[in-house]
Amino acid sequence: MSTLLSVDPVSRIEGHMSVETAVEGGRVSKVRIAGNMYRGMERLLFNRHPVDSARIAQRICGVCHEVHGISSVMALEQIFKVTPPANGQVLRDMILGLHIVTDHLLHFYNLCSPDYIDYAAAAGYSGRDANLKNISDWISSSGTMFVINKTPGDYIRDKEVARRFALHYFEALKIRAEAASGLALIGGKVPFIHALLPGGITTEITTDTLMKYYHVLTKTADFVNNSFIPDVMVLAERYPEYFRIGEAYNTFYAHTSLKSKKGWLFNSGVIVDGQKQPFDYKKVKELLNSSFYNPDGSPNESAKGAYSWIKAPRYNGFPLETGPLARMAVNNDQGFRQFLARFGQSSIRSSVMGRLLARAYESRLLCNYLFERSEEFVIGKSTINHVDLQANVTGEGIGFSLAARGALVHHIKAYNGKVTDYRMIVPSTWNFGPTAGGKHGVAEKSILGTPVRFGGESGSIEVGRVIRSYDPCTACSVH
Amino acid sequence: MLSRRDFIKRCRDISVAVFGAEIFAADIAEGFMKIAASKRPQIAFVQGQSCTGCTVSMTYGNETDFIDFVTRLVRVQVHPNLSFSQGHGYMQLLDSVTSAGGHVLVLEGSIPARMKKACLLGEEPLYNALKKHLEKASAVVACGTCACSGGIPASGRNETGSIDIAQYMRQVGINKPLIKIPGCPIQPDRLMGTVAYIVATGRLPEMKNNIPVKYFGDLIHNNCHRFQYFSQDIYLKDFNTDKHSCLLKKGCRGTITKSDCPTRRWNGGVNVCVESNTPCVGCVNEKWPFKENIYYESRNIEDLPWNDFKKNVLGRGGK
Repeated sequence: MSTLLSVDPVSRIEGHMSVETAVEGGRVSKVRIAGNMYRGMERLLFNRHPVDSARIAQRICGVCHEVHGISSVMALEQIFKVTPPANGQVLRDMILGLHIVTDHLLHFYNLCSPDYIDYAAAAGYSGRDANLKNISDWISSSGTMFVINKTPGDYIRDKEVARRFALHYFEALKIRAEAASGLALIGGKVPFIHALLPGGITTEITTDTLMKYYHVLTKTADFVNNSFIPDVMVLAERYPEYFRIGEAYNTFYAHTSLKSKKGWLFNSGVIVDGQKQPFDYKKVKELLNSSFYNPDGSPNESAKGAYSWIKAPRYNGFPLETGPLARMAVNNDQGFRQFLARFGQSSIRSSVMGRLLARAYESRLLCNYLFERSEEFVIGKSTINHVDLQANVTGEGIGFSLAARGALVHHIKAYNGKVTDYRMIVPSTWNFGPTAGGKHGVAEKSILGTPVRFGGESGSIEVGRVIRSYDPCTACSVH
Repeated sequence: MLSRRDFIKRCRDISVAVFGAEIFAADIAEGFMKIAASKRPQIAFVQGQSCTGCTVSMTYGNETDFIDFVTRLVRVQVHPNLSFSQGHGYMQLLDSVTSAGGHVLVLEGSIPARMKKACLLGEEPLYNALKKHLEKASAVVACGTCACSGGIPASGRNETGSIDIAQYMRQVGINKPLIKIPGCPIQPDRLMGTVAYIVATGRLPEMKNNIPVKYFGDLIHNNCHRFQYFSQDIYLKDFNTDKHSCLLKKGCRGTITKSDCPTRRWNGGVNVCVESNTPCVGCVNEKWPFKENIYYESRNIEDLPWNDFKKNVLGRGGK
């Protein structure tokens, strides 16, 4: 006898997603994850000028806003046959790196931590800390409903821990806003930077700009080191079973990204069957069997056998997991292995806690990288090579880049100044693709076997935790 | 708790910041004193075909602080990205807020009217589900260009039949006070300031075509800090060498876009698109993202900003 449980909608993620599970003998025995929103971002770029994609493709997602812009511009630069000057590259990396750190903060504190912490335990404070007093008053005031956590579960109810997390919940929002102003200094505004064009960055960068960027980077790095990493460790110690929950195929995928004088911060590669191999783009195929599309790629909401708007990408037939954990695995990062060893983990394996720890560890890695990278900017040298934004270009370009959630590809074909084909292969598509070709998608696979102790009408919190450990971005995954 | 005096001062600070005028500040402060925290109208946030960019922009704040907004000014009861509950519990919360009525419903994103499965709210298509959440609302706020005029999901071939909230309300026969805050994404002050004003005063701000005049009254061009270069016919030719020139001939849409971007600025006021030496793309314009060529120059396209400029601006005395 199995029980059907669904989480519909999955909240605290980007976009519209639902999960259906069947639970047998206390474990998930069947699963289906559906992406429930479609706009047709690839198809609406058809016939527009290729440069338009630098603006429109960014708007696939307002959470990971800058990553799609950079990937699409990398593809455009191949079509325009232009490369940005060294300064332009530095600025792009400064945007990308800091953005990804802030994305990780949003995920951990604002999206994911309510799965583990009972914030209601932070109420009833009568001490001297004004911030805590305000939070306590706010939580206990009759007017606040979004913090009510009705999903039953084994939350941390310790007052001290809940208060520490409650302070950091808000501090993370503040740090993000400050970091955003650092990005806006270079890019004009965020979300959606417009200073990013094929050829480089248009902004005039002064010492003042760099000083301000350095200031917000320092603040962000302090928060990562003093709050983010210790807080993730609290969860890892309290929930050791989540090193075994949420295991997908242990296949991983990452791209070469973020350059510096020392070389690349992240290497490219694919791990299948425990073997690392070079990434070969030709082996990537998107299957449509379970998705709402016709074979020609046009949308069809009544496609036979379909249950999700997300396509199912496969590498040589394998679903690949991508994200910070995959970057660590492909890099075989020794520092991260040591970090895992603190919790008795001897190897980099796919799990809920592995993904949470990788995100925190990577944030520190990125901050350290950004301090060095930003010093490579040379005041007074050019930041952009001019291109004619109206040129009737013809050609093909592929931008292999990265997002907070994993490896990202924008593939553009243009003829005579018009986009003839636009293809995006996005991290959340890899992670949340449906079952196709006889294989579950990555997240689906990792939900199978999840022990369910707290299943109710709102679905199980355990399944919610597995889903959110990937930091799903549904708008991206469907586009 | 804050003292009464501190509280009024705080409300004043916030409303001065968001409306940039004392006259509103007094209204807002007074309004907030009259209604107890637990009686303030509730905010229910719904996302359609959206990218969450407007919500993220709101959390970044500008002069308006998102945390103040959420914890002190309004009761944000349901928000897909923030709510701690999930699944059925989340839907119940949404239903209980919107069936009690009197709430302000904020919609981010557009609504697919033809391909209804292209956006679901819970198990139902948004197109079918949204009506009941609107029926008892005291006001509807369209958050961002997608909700205001269709935006990117409605562009190109518009395969999903994406429509904006005004079209939706006409189709399902609902008539509610509607406030449009366009922008791709919204500028945070404009959304939070407007909502705070409605909640505190119980009135709608002065509007033209459902858009608050305070934020969207004048062309970007007229307040552009590069206006002097325009007056002197100094136009940008090369992004690398020209760092202080008018961007009009690179396709800048500041001449056809009404918004207070040049003075309000973004992300704590540190910058704004044109200042980063890149043309305004007109993201608050109802035509955004336009039919083709966002960066068209002075060539062959009928809705050229330069022509519009001559017609709309010079035509009415160059104001």
